[in-house]
Amino acid sequence: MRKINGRVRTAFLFGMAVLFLALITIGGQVFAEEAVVTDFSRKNLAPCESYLFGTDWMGRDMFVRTLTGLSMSIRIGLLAAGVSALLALFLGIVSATMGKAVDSIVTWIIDLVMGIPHILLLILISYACGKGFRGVVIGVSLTHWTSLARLIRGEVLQLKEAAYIKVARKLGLSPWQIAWKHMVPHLFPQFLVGLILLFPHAILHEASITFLGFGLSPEQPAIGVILSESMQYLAMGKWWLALFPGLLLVLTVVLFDVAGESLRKLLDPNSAHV
Amino acid sequence: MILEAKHIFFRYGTDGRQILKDFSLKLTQKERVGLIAPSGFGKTTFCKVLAGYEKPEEGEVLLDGHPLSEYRGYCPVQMIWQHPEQVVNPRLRMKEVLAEGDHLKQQVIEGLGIEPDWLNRYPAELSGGELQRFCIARALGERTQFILADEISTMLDLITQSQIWSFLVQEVERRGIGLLAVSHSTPLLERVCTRIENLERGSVS
Repeated sequence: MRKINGRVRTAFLFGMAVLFLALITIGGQVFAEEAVVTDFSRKNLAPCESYLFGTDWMGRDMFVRTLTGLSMSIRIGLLAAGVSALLALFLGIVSATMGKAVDSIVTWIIDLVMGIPHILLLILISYACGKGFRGVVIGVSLTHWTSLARLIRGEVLQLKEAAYIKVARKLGLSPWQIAWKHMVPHLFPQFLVGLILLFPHAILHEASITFLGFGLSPEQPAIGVILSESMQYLAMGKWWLALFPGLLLVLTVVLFDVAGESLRKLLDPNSAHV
Repeated sequence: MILEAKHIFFRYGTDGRQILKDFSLKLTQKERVGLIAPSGFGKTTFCKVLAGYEKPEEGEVLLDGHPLSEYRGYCPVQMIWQHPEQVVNPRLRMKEVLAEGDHLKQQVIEGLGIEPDWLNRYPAELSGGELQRFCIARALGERTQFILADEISTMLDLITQSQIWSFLVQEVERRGIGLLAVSHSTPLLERVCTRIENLERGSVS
């Protein structure tokens, strides 16, 4: 049998992860109506053929509900990680190029945000912004940019001093050409992979503050709400209420990690011929 | 054209060791000058000053009587560095590295023994000697008037050294490019150069 090229395999893995995540997101949207339907004639059913994940005490189909919850989580993650990564890119570049005073202010803010435990800051910000969708997105966005910003700042500082950039100047390349040809190829993969690897954090943090009651409101089919409600029924033997949504949440997070890692491998020239 | 370094003083930072002290050198395009000195006497630093990478503390670098820093765009004085892996962007393929040069002639690329197969590779996939050929080719652009070769062959085996040097000497002679060659090896400089200067002695005219 012919051996499959490692690069092709990595690209395939990336494609599958993205496809699966897209399916969850779209599927959740399609079934959004069904997820809130209550039917007391089918309450507390264990997983069976027609209800894969079983039903809860209000007769809601847990499969559809989990899918919708994850879809919501992914959309929140997308928004929060996107805002967070852009913030990181902006502050990282500003910090590295605008002189010492700006640099020390930005670095100080990074240290400050990093110094406070994530979840604490998240709860404070989310609560201050009125909880709900808005609170969660603002909270996650404002707490997750720091490490990427520090990475980008370091990268730009290093690039500015790189010998090959000095040589490019002597070869008559304009600052714009140098930025485009020499800096972007270094920053873009860092940014993109950083962005994707922010998702699992964003999703887990969204789920956890919702679980703790500082995030999305209880009537929304969010994964955090599902998990926190299921806790009350776990002792009564309704194991499926926590197990399947929990597993699917872990799967989603792992898939984002797989997507980010395989993209990093594809973009890194040192592994161009794996 | 004449490249002239006049009474150069240099130190890194404001309280670093005085590396260059009142050093002067004049180089015409008909000459190949060898520069010799023990380690730590500032051979590389002098090349960087002469190519405009570093500003001297005192003194000036003149090209045809005008300060080199006044030349905009392509710099007629090109330096070839000792460590080629530092002066190529690890994220660019070798053909893009060559594209940075100024209208490179195919004959230069062939003369240096660059194989077509290497052009699609990344720097990490070539050896130091292979990379150095690209750096030499890139420096030999159309508007280059002076070449500063800073220990360009120290990492190469003898056969490759002789191949590269004989091509470089032939090329600069044909095109009338002035050459400053820095090396620890006196026999090499005696073979390659028309004149040898010692940085250790300080001021030479």
